[in-house]
Amino acid sequence: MATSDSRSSPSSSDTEFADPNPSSDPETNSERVQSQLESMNLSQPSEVSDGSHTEFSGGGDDNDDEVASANGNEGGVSNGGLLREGVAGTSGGEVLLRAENPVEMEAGEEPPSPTSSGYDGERGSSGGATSTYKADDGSEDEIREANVDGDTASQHEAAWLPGKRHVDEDDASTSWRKRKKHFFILSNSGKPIYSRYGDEHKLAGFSATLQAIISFVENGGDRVNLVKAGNHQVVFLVKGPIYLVCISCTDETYEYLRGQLDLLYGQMILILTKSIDRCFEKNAKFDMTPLLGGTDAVFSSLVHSFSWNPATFLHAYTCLPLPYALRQATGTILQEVCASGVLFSLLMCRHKVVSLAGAQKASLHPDDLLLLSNFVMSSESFRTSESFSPICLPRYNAQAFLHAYVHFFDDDTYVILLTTRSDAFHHLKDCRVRLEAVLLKSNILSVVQRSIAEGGMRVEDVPIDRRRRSSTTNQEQDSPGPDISVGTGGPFGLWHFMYRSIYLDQYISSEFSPPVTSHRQQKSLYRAYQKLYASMHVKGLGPHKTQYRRDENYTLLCWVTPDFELYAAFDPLADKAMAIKICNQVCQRVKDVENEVFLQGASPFSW
Amino acid sequence: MAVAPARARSDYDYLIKLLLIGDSGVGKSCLLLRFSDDTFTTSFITTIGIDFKIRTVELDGKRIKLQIWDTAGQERFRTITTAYYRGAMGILLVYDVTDESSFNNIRNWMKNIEQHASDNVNKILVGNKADMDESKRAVPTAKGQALADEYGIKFFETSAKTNLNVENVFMSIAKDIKQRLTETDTKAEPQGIKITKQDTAASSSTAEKSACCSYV
Repeated sequence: MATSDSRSSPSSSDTEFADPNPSSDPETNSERVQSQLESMNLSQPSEVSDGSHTEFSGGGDDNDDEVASANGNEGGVSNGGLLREGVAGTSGGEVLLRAENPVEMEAGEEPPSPTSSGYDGERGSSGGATSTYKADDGSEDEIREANVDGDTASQHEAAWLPGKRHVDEDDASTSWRKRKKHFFILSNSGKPIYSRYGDEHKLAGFSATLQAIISFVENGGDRVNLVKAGNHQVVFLVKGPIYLVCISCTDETYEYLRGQLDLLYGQMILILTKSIDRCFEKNAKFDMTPLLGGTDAVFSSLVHSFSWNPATFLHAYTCLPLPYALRQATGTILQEVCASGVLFSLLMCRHKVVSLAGAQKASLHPDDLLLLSNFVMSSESFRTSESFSPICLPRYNAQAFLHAYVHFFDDDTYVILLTTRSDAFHHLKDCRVRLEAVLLKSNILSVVQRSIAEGGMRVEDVPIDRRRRSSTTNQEQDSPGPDISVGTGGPFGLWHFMYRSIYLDQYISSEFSPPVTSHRQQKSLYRAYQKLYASMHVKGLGPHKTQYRRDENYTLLCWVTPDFELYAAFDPLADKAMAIKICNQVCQRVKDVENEVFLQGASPFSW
Repeated sequence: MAVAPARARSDYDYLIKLLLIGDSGVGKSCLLLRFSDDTFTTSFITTIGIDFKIRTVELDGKRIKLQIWDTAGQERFRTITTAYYRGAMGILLVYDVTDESSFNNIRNWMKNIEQHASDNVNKILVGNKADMDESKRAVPTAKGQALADEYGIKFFETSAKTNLNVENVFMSIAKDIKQRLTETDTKAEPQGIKITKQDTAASSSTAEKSACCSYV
C-alpha cells in the first residue's frame, strides 16, 4: 500500500514526553509544565479547575442578572403567552456591566461593511458568489498588540483565507504566543495532529507538554477540564486516545469553547470515523496526520464559523426562506429519493437548508448537518464535478462510513445524497438527474437565488403596534420618545434577534443592519448571545425564563420557554418595557411567517 | 463480452471509462479540468473521494464518450478508490516531475492496478508539471521513458498549466482502447475477416505481456 506525503517523525528528544507514564518525579514534571505555561505570557498563577467554574473571565465582570418570571401562561400555549414586565421596582435592580472585552477593543471600531447586509458580506456576497471562501477582515489572525496603524493594515489584508496559515510559527514565536485563540488536536502519546497556527511538527514539544498536563491529572484519578490563567482559558477535551485543547483569551464562555472542541472532534470523525481509535490501540505512537491530508481548509473553515455561525452554539439548523409550496414540492422529491434506498437527501444553499428528507426513522442531528455542510462548502473539489466520497455522521453512527454523492447545481445550491452502499454512485446520479428536472421545471433554483440575495427576516420587518405606540406617547418617558431609533435598526432600538424553535431544532437569525454592520460588531454580538445562552442553560440551576442585561454596548433580552428561545439585542438606551413589547411582536411575526422560514414536516429528531 | 453495437445510443458510438491515479498533489484533477473544461487553477484542489466527469470526443470518425474518474490520492480514500479500478478500461498513472517520491510510488500504484483492475486494462504513464523550471525537475524525461518501457506502456510528459500534451494523453489512450474494443468486435463476429494493423507506437516487453500488443 502506497503511502503518500510521508513526514519525518518528531525528534527523539521529544519522544520522552510521549511516555504515558512520565517522569516519576512529579515535581520535576510540574516544573516543566509550569515553565511552558509561563512561556504563554500567563501573568497570574494558574488555577486548576474541575470544570465547575462557569464564571466569565476578564476578572471583576459583574455577572449579576435580573431575572423576571413570566406571568402565568407557562402551560401548553404555543407562544408561551405574552412576556410581561416583572413586579414594579425590579428595574431598580438593573446593573451596568463593565466592558466585556477590553482586549477586543484595542483594535478600535471598523468602518461599516460595504455590503448592504453585513451578514451576507461575511458569507460572501451573493452577487460574487463564485468564491467558496468567506469575506473577513482577517481580524482573527491579528495579534493582540496591533496598534492603530496595524489595524488599518489588517483591514487591507486579504479576506479570511482557507487552509493552513502561519506555518512558519511555532511555540517559540512571539506572534504565535500572542494569538487570541489556539486549537490543538493531539494523541494520547503526545503526537501533534492538528494546530490552528503553526506547523504541527514544529509543535511536537508543546504537544507533549499538553499531553503531560492531561496525563498527570489522570494519573491522580481526576480529569482536567479547564485551566484559568489571567485572561486565558485553557480548555481540555479527552476523547479516548484523542486530546483536544483550546487556549483562548477571547472572553468566550467555557461551555462554548468546550462545544467548539466537540465540533472539531466531530469534524475529524466525519472525515475518519471513530475507528481511528483502533489505530492507536494497536500502535500507541501511530501518526495519523497523513490521514488528514488535504483537510486544512475544512478545519480552518469550521474554526472561522465559530465567529459567525450561531448554529455552532445553538445546535440547531437554519433554513433559507422559501415559499411553502416550493419547499413542500422539493421535500416530496427528496422523500421519493429516500424511498429508493437513500438514507438522507439534502438540498442546501450555502449553509442553509432548502429541504431535507430522511429514510424511515433515520434522523439527522443539527451538528452533523453543520459539519457536513462545512465539509462540502470548504472543499473546492466538490464544485468542479460530481463527487462520491466516504463520510461519517458522528451523531448518526460514529463507527461507520456512509457514502455521499455531492453535486452543485449553481454556485451556491447543491444536493447531498447519503447512502450506506459504496457501489451506489450511478443510482445516486440518476436520483440527482430526476431531482434536477423537478427543480428546473418548478423554477426553484432561481427562487433560491433570489431568496439568498434578498436575505431573511429583518428587524425592520417587525411591525410597530400602533395602539401601543399611541398609548406610550401619553406616558412620561426617560428616553426622548418612541421614535428615537428611527433610522437605526428596527422599532424602538431593536438591532437583531434570533429565534430558536425547540421542537423543530431550527432557528432564524435576522439579517444584520445598521448599526451592527461590521464583522467585528457581529462577532461581538454573537459572543454576547453565547453568554446569554450559557447562563440560561446552566445545569442544576433550574430553568430560567427571562434574562435582561444592559451594558454600554447592548441591551440584551433572552426569553426561554418549552417551545422556543428568543435572543434579542437592542440599543443600549432602549426602554425596557418597550423592549419586552417588541419581543412579543417578534414572536408574533415569526409565527406569521413560520411556513416560509422553517422546514415543517421534517421528521422530529429521535436522538 | 460483446460491445454494444455501433450507434445503439444516440449520443455516442463507444463508451470508454478512464481512471486517473497517482499520489496526492501531482495534478490529476488539474489534468482532468484542463481536458474537460479547458481551465486551470493555481489553487490546490484536494479531491475528496471520487470525482466524475464526461467529455465526448471524435476519433477516426467515431464519437467516443469518455467517462473519467478522478481519484483522491490521500491514503484514507484507498478503499473507495480501488473499488473503481475494476470498471476502468484505461488507467492514467500520474506523477509529478518535480517530486521524485511520486515517481517512485508509480511502482506501488502499478501493484494496485495488478491487484484490483481488469487484466487487459490499458495503461499510460504521465509525468505532469513539465512546465516547471529545470532547476526544480527531479525526474529526468529519460527516467520516465525508461519506466514506461519497462512496463511496456506509453509515456507522456504534460503540463496542465500550459496545456502541454493534455489532449494527446487522453486521445492516445482512448485510441488504444478503441482499437482494442474494435478488435474484440472483430473477433466476436462469427464470419468476420480478421484485419489487424501493426501498432508502430507499441513497444513489446518480454517481462510482461503488454495490453498494447497486437493480436496476430
